[in-house]
Amino acid sequence: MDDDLPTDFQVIVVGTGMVESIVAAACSRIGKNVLHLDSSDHYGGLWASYNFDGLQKFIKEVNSDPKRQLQVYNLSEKWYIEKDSPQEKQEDDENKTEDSKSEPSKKVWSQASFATEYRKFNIDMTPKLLFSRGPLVELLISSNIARYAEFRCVTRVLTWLNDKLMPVPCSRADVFATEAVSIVEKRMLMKMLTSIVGYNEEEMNNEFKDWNDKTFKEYLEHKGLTPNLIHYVLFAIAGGTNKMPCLEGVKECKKFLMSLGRYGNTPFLWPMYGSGELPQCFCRLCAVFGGVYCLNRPIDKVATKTVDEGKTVVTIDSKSKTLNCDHLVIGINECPKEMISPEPAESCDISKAVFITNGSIMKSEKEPLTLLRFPPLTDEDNTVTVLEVGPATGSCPKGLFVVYFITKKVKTAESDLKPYAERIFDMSGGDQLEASEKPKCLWSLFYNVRDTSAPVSGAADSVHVCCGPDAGLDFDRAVEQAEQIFKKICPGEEFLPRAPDPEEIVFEDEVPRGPEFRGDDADAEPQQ
Amino acid sequence: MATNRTGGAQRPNGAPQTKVCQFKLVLLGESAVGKSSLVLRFVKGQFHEYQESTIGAAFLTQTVCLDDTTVKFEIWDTAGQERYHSLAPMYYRGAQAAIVVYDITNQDTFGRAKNWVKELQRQASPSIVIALAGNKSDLAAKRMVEFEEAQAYADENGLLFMETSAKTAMNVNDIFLAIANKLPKSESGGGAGGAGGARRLADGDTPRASSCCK
Repeated sequence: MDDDLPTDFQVIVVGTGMVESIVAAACSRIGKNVLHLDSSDHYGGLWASYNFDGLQKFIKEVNSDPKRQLQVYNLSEKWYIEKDSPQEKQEDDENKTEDSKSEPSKKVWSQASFATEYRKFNIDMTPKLLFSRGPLVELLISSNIARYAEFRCVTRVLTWLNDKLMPVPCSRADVFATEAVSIVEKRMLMKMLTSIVGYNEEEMNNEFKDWNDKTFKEYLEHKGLTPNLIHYVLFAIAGGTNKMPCLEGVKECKKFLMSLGRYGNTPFLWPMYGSGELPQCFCRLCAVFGGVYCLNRPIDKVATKTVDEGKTVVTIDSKSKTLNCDHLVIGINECPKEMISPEPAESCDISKAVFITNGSIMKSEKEPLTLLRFPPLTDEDNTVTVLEVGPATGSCPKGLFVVYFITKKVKTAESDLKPYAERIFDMSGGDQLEASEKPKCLWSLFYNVRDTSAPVSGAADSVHVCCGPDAGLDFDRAVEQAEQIFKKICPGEEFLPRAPDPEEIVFEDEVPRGPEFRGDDADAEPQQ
Repeated sequence: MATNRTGGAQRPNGAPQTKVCQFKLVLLGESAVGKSSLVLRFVKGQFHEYQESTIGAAFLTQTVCLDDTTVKFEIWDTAGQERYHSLAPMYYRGAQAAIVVYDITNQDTFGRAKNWVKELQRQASPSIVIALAGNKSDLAAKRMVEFEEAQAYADENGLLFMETSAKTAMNVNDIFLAIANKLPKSESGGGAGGAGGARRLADGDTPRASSCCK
């Protein structure tokens, strides 16, 4: 089908993960001739989101392909519900149409009903949030790629304190409204937060001058914060542990505080239909500016050769065709080993889990979108990040929630994360209609992902290797790496300048122009 | 993506206002069947015989006025990603309408159009309104796809159907109008993805960082 694929490009990008997609968009945007390939039949690689059917295929693929197990391993899927629910069968025959409006929460879910509604799931392999004033939001806006996506605000930040879930006061208003903190504590907290916002790396303020080699916790204690406040700031806002270095904590806190007040109550945004949409948005921009897209296109071999005038060309063998380019941008998981130099160092892998539940971990009036940061339950553990997303985000059918757990790996995903999950879910597999404090876990998936997020270089100057997903909360490292790669390929060029709105585009042709077009589309306002 | 935005319709007093509903419409079809030409004709009233493959146009907008409703279409073009079967799912996300285009002088493109319809039925929102457009009807002398065949297929699958010509403008406005009429205009009627309350990001939505934190 794709025999007519052209063979010569300035830039060939292999893999449609986040970093690769941003680089593809940036190169295409400034006029480079770009071919973007992926060996699989969908976008995103390890950054993809799947519907329930796609996820089942992914699980099967990983379990049957030892090569995939180099990236994803210890995969364990479990159901906590019946294959078929007898009630459902009767209902289905009578009323096959969307009955979601009537009593969505009372539904008894079965494996069969998951299969029927598979399309309503969008389950992320790499769920991540955006800081409202973080580099990705700024990039989406400044490049005008923001118009391809929609977002929802994270409605609350929770933490685990004194053996229960507690909302974390985020904004100034929250701090003053909360009853969990005394007035004296409020004053102390505000004072401390103000000095953190004033922190500036270059001109190290006096405030933090002597804290270089101390922990953030020591700093918070020094400021006289009470244990509860230290817990909020250290674990929930900075996402740290007792060992977190002071300046790292200050930076994390500042990032959080600086993103408050732009879009919602918390500093965070979540993309509609999941994080896996974002690489596709960048791919679309790349295509809009002439980038050629070809999925399902595995590559067999990568080589470099020097042609006349000492110029290096990268050649890629793919489906009995040889593709040539000046620059190859390639995802680390697609890159032949001999093209990576040096070998990536051993790093700490990531433990992940996905749960599907029949209710939110903490009831609220409106459908919540939650970030929960668990402090480590043991000294060995790291902070566990939990994201709970509901039907309004396009992640699952009504009545369900998808909950993601992420932490740095200690043993296996299951042993690292299950103790945390059991704190907030009912994992007994009992009667779904039975009233209980905790939501019922209906399905779970544990897996480990190799951490390939450390930057590596290609074996040649014209081969650029893109890192894989990291364990962090946001996309900042991916954006940063993409910009660095782009600057190597296109030195001196602007990184993703604003794309024009459709109304600003003048269609020009080789053929002589007809009568001047006068805007009769006065209704067409620029997309905001 | 675009949910129905009922601008001003719920004012407590005063005369009822025209409801403005915004819909995302996606174009599908084989390369070179005239997808972009249809949109360009509809939105700008233009036609270029040798229109290059679409570059730089992300989407266009155009409004259609019905009796009591103004329908604003946000029209997405494939940007060529269909060429090697690599259209991203984000393309159909939340689309409430689609026009699947084929070229009446090319039987293959009709076969591909049927595949796109299947793809939409599988991937897109279940309530999506799909129209089938047999484009290049000005080239009837070279016709390879019979009107009746396409009509029968459209009827079987519950699609709107028209033969169109971006060149002569025949049925171009009509097909968009027919879609506008068929789209549910109630506030939550779109039902596509349930994106109500989701937001696009734009500069200047809110005060800049400096005003609150410095």
